[in-house]
Amino acid sequence: MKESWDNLFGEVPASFEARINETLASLEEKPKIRRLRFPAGSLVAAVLAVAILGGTALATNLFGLRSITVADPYATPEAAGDVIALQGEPESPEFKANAEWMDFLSGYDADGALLAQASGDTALDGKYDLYPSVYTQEMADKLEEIAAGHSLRLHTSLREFSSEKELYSLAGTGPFLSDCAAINGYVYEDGSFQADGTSVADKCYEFQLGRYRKGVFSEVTLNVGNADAYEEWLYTTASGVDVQLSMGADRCVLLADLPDAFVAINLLGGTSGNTVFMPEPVSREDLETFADLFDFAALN
Amino acid sequence: MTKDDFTIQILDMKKTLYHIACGILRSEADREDAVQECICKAWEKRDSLKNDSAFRAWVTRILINECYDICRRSGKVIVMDELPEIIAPEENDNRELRDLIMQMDDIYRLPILLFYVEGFSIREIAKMLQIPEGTVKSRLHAGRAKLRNVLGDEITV
Repeated sequence: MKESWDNLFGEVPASFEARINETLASLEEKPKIRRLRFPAGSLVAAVLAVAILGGTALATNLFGLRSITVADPYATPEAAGDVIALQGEPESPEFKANAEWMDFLSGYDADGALLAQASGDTALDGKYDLYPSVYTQEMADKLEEIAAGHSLRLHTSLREFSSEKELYSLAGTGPFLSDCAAINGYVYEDGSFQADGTSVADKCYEFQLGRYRKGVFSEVTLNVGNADAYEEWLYTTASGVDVQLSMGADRCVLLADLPDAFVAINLLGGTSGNTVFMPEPVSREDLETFADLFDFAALN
Repeated sequence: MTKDDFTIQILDMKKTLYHIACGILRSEADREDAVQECICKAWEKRDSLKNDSAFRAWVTRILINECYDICRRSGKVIVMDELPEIIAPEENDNRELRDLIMQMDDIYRLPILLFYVEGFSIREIAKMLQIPEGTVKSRLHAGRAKLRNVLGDEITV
């Protein structure tokens, strides 16, 4: 059977094979910096959890995705769209720092000459490995300057996880996921984390989740396409937390502002019912059901 | 694992890597970026692989993640009117079958590719895609139903 299926795709193109050979040949020479078309950090969405402290839920204002858009240093004709920062509401130092950093990146090394020179450079302090956009000392200095200017710390380490139990343990939270079939990602030293997960309730939800502790700089952003094309409203989850829900054609974004953390979720499906990850349409009710799968209060 | 061993095993699965990349990504440039990232990551983390016999499934899982990351970073989704390009014209009936597979939704296409084309077990696929084994079976079942007009009853799960 397999032999006949092998013929389905024809031969491996020469350019693909060449890239494999090139990569294999360079493994020991360039272990740190790789050639990337999109060198930015991952696009994990952040769930904004409004914590319940002493039984009192904080109110989340409906600020909308448009208000947290930032410059996109990696915009290409085929990947155009609005990019949002995932660290806080528009007036927060975390958001302002991210926006400033994206402005800097947008005007830096436009032709990629410095990136090409930096390949294999191990002179940079290893702590900048946690900020994948940084590949020169000048960028590292700017990163420090922006973080300090907003009184933010930089992350210092991370650990990977591949189960709910590990996530709760590393992040120092109680359980906050319902009906989670799988989740993996990494947790920073302060309990901030980024995760990819699947929850199976009435339907299968594929999502990305980010928890960003306040007082720390993060460069994570998310391309949301047209930020004005989302239906947005506030929803009080089953755990009593107000969350901003933004429902688009191909994705939905859930945001909540907690006292000590900003949390965002990127649901990888929308009203079109036509995405790689979730081929079924997402309705308002689905999105609210999905929001209820998270105990946002536990994410503070 | 030595670099030579690693290289041999990667080269031995280059067809698999290409098939998986084709199953998720539309552009050749993205596929090449994904396989490069996959190889680099597998090399960096090779010591974490406790059982060398799982190398092929492990690397495939890494590649799937890289392909998804590229989709997410670029905000790309593969929609039905933007089908992955056809690799090469063929003279036999496989072309119809291949086109049919490539037109399937991603959630069906990947299990189909991994199970029928690459020969992974349902358990391995469940681990790669991080979905329950039952979900793999149901997606294979649904995918197979879509292929039945072409394949008749040849495929069984």
